[in-house]
Amino acid sequence: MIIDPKVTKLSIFNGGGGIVEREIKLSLSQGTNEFEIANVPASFDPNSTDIKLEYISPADKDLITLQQTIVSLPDVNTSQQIINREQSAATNIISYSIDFTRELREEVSNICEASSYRTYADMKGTFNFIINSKVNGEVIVKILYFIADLRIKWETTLQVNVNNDGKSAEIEAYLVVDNQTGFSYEDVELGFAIFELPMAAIETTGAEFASAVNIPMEQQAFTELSKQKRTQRMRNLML
Amino acid sequence: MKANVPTRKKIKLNWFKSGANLDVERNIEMQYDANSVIYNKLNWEVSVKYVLVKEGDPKEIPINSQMTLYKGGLPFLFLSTAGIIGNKIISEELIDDDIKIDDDIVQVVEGEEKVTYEDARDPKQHIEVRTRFDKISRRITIENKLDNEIDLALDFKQTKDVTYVKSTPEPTTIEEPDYKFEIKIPTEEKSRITLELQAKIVKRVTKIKPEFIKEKTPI
Repeated sequence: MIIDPKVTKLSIFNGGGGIVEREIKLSLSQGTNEFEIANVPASFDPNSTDIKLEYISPADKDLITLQQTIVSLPDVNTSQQIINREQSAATNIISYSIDFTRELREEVSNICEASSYRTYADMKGTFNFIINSKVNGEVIVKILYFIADLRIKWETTLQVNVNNDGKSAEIEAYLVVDNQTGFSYEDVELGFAIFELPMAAIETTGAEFASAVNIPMEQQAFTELSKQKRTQRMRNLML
Repeated sequence: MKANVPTRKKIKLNWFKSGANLDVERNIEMQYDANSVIYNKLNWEVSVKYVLVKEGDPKEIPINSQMTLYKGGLPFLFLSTAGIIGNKIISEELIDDDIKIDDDIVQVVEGEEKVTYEDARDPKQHIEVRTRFDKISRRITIENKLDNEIDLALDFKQTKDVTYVKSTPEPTTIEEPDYKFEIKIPTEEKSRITLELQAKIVKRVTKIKPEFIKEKTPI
């Protein structure tokens, strides 16, 4: 069964990427229940996925268990072919729409823009899981995964209003979230962390992109990150 | 904090508002070597950084965050953060183009040359080492082109070849090899410091030892 758990929390790293937390209440039938999570980006890290079951009744703990998770990333070559075809079609449509009225042109752009900017990271990954249940019942499933995509990040801007005395000031701080990925997050709890994804995590998601030719521009930056190991502790912002 | 994060969009969220104490740190670092100390004219640069001490709880602000300074509602400086220490927000260091420094030579009094010899690679040659200690006087003029009074710290660092003798005015603090001058300059005015220095000038010349110089026989 395909399910689309709501994204409840999105913790974004200032160095790019983040952690997605999703949640859904599922009805289970007795036996094996297989679920497929929709809208998982191909930039997700299959090794960092985590599923936690939250039992509605404490007695369910012995009756409902997570059997396994199944994760995979889409094939790079096939995805690239699809992306190229889509981009070419989108460019043609946008180009022809120049002859239309402004309203129509904008509508066409809105529809085709997503295809025109699509990259491998905007394709869909596979994230399935199987729950064994000895009874018909319900369980809350919490899903967590890292996204290794430099196109989603945050930064701070400070506006410092210097007072007339020149010795004091008022600081106004803003958080700017830049989401250039193909995924939207509606009404999510936002978290901000000062963190850069380590090379290992990036390579896990990018392992299939072995050939540099196939790496989209924004993800090539991952390979340019320093190979020297350094201590890095994630620091969460106190909002 | 809840928000919508739409695809291919940037969103701006309010984070915090806070009062802060502002300190503008201007610094000039000067040092000479045996060559540069006798240049007729030298130009130094003033580095400036802004230090904000925020009121209330500390906030983790990433380095390289954009920072815009406003005065009277208008932006006057764009810079970025270089670090955070507790409640202290420290900006990157910039070169202050509104403070001009001219460093001119005033006088050079050449010292007496002492000659010593060192062995050369060729046994028929030796190196003649001519050492002298020159007294050099330089005048540093600092001009404040800003519309407000400024405080700045001039740090003269003596080196193995150029050492401090005296100055007018005297340094505020001396922590050898650093001689620090804390200077206050009113708007559109100049401040001067005269430094008297001693420079060790060494010249080395490789020569044939006298006993190996063949005398020319007259034709």
